[in-house]
Amino acid sequence: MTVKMKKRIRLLVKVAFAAILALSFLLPFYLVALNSIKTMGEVTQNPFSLPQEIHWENYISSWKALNMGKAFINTAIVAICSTLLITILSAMVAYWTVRHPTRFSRLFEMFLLGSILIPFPTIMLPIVKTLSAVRLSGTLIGGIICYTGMGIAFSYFIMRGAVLSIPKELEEAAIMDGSSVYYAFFRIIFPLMTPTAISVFILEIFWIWNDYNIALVVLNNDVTKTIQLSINGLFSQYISRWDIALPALVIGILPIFIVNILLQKKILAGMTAGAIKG
Amino acid sequence: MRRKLFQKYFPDIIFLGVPALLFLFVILIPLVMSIFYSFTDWDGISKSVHLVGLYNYKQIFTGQTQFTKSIAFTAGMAAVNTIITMVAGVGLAALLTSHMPASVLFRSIFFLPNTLGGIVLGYIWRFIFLIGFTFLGKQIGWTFFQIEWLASFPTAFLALAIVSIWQSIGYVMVIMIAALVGVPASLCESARIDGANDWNIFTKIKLPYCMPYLTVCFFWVIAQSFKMFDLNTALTAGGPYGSTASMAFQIYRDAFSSNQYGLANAEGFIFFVMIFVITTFQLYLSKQKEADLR
Repeated sequence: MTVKMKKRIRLLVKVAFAAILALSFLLPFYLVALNSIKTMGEVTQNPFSLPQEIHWENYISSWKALNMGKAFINTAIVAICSTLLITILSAMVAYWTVRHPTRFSRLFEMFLLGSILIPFPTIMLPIVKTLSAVRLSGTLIGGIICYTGMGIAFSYFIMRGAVLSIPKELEEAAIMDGSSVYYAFFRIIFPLMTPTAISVFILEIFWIWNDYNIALVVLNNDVTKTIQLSINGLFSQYISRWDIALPALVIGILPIFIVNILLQKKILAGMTAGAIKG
Repeated sequence: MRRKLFQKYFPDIIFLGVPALLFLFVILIPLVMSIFYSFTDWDGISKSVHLVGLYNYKQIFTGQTQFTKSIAFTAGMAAVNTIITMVAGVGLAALLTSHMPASVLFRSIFFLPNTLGGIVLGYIWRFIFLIGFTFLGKQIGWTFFQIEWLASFPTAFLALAIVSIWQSIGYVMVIMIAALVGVPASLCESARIDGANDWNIFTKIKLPYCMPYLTVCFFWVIAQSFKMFDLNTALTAGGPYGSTASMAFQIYRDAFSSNQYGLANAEGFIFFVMIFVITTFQLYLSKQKEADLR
């Protein structure tokens, strides 16, 4: 056997292996989508068969049972507001602690570092109490406060890297010319941090959109339900009504799939940045 | 005087004020409260709160509660997940960086489950295990598909591990691809000239070079498995008979379903100590390894 042929066979084996694995990764999604448009009888009889007739009305009854419109709006409000707050606040903290270290900033930095070690389940019980104390438990604002408070520490460590990479002279020149630190930060430093800010934004919005744990503790009522809570509620209510439950899953998956395809490069860049600097 | 002080610290307030308040309100005060309540017998609702000293902790450590079981379950899950996810994730990264055609497409596919939440993933697999497997069991007749996966502990554990690994592999793969691409080609070239084969180059040069990334992934997978909550809720709901209840799941259940708020907070504190020890140990180890390599 020639070296060339050996190489070809090796390549073929590699591609075949990856392809089979990829198919097995996609199969669960395919089955869920396929069965979401079948009748309950067809689903249990043969989950691999094609539908005899496409039942889009499954989606309508699922959407209604979930009250999905409301859940979408709630999730979007909480996710977008919290993410924006996390991004800007962590950038401010990072700038201040790196460039103008004071007693307070050093102390706060220590606390942020320590908070990475605190798992959410440890504090999830009293959080309800502190939020109730200011009458924000079970409100969207309460949810935003929780996500922002929990998210700042991680973003801070990514933002720190971004501040460090900006030359000090830029800011010094501006301050020499008589601009305030606020002007220097918002007009000079923060715009230069945009690529990192986008990474942080993507990381955090995925986290909040998919989060179930914090939402369960803070937002679990009919008015503030998020998508994850609705899906879980639906499943526990219609425990084996797959014709209603599967469309709900597709509705939950679809927006993320679309964002994933459109923003894949940015998402991966954000993840990698988070891993290295975080 | 007061005015001067205020002026001096004004920028501190602007840049740190809101985050510090949020931090206090969402993390620090709840942490202190949690530790306090762990010494009480509070049920979470009534007005009677009694200090009971270390009673809750005694209950846990003498095995009077479900929590010791969930610690064992979670530790087992973390061990299985971490080993398999790391090996498979690094393997996939190596495969996709070895002049692979369509590697971007493969990368997107393997990464897909990682972008979805545990609730959605858990229910997808619940459908697969309950309906898909049952059907295949009837058609093909393999025992692999015939057993009721979610009905007994060993298989329910495996089912959770499968879904969890399916979710985490993408992360490790993405990070390790970035790491492997960053290894200077000149290093590998000179090793090849010295007669090293692909396997040697990978294990002796590339992997050590990527050590910081490996540590990050390792740490991430362990933390991820320890905090398992939503997958648990969706796939097995802790069953059968509470045998697959993760620590987070058990804490939530004790506090809100069985109204043992004090006990649940003690469990939360033990959870915190465990995460603290693991993380510190790991950071220490990685620092040492990195120092050794230099």
